[in-house]
Amino acid sequence: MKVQLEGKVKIRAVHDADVNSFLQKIGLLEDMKNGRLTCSFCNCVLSIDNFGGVFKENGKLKSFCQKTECYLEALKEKSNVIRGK
Amino acid sequence: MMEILKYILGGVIGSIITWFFTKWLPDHPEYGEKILYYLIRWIPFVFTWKKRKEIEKEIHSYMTEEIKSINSESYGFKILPKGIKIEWTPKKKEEVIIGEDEIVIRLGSRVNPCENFVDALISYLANSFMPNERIYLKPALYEACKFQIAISMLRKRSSEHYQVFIDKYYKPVLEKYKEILDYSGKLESIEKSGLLTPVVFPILSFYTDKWVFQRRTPSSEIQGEINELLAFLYNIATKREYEAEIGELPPLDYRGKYLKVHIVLVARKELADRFEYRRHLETAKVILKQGVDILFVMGRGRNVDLARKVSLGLRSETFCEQIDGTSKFNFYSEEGRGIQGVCYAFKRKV
Repeated sequence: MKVQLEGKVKIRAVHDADVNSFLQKIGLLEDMKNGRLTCSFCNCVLSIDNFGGVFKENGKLKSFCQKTECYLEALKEKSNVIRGK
Repeated sequence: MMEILKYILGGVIGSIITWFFTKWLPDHPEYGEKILYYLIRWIPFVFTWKKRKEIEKEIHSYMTEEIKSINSESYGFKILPKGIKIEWTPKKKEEVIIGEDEIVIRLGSRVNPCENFVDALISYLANSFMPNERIYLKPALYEACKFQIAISMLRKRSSEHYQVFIDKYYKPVLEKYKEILDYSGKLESIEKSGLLTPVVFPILSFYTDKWVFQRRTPSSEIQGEINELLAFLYNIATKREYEAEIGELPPLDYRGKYLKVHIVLVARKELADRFEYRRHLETAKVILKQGVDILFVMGRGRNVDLARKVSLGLRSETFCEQIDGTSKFNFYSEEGRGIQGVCYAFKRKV
């Protein structure tokens, strides 16, 4: 099936100042405070300083850090989902 | 007009604020505590709102222009979707719902503010760049194309943005993946000679449309031909080196099982001197009748006008049709100077 490129591409982003409330709303703030939140790719422990973003895979939220390779991996995961549609 | 209105509005709001703090508030001290409470709550909110708007504005305004320019260079083939929209989350009082195919990235105060722009660009390209064409490309070639389009978009931006992209994404990825590096080397030369958006991407889109319609499944044979096509265009892009090595000019015709492409370079000097543009027109007619699917007429620098004449001549023919408009592009001389060129695309009528 042909993917139609209509409309704008939406990029969901969280601003530095809102990271705390964002994590609280998605239920990951407690894990971060307890040091249990890790990057899905490099396994480093995530804190407010190195939190890079989040995506959903098989119904489960996965976080990643700010390292370039982890960011690219996360984007790849997401585009694979789109590709598989 | 808008500027004047802004000044007037600014003046009025400024006067009201001054009056409020110097006249009204001293007369109503009972409200002081409440107002202070709201100020403390609202100042950080306004501050971050302004920061978010700044990031948004930078990304929107520049990328929208670049997207337009790249799509118009590609004869209306939608290489990139229309635009980009930053949607900030979380919104006040709203639940945050992240869908199965969604990613939320972090933007904001970075050591280098250009990182916001570059991160957003990478995210935009990751999920929207030639989604149909990618099925027929080797993953490494697709990645290399994506990087090259980013370079092409950033070339006109400040050197800081370009450098952030090179240091943060381009170099680390290329060091890690040799196959992407090989493709990127070729695409870099192709892009600098003005063959990327006016020729490579339209060819890929043209054939993808055809293959999707025919329900042709991707195959290693197709990928192999795309690689050969890339080598063919690379030889044209580096024709001086090719000539020095092989002793003749690179071929301008590629005929594979799936891809049949011809490039008319107006004017190769040995032809232009003797025959002016008419020789190119005759060549183009013969080639199109011989069964080439897509033909490009390209002229750079002083030859722009000759290329236009060739395209006008082809437009009146019944056996071919022009694909939307003219592609105006820049190619870069060996000294790195940007020179304008034009390219016209014609497809054979079936």
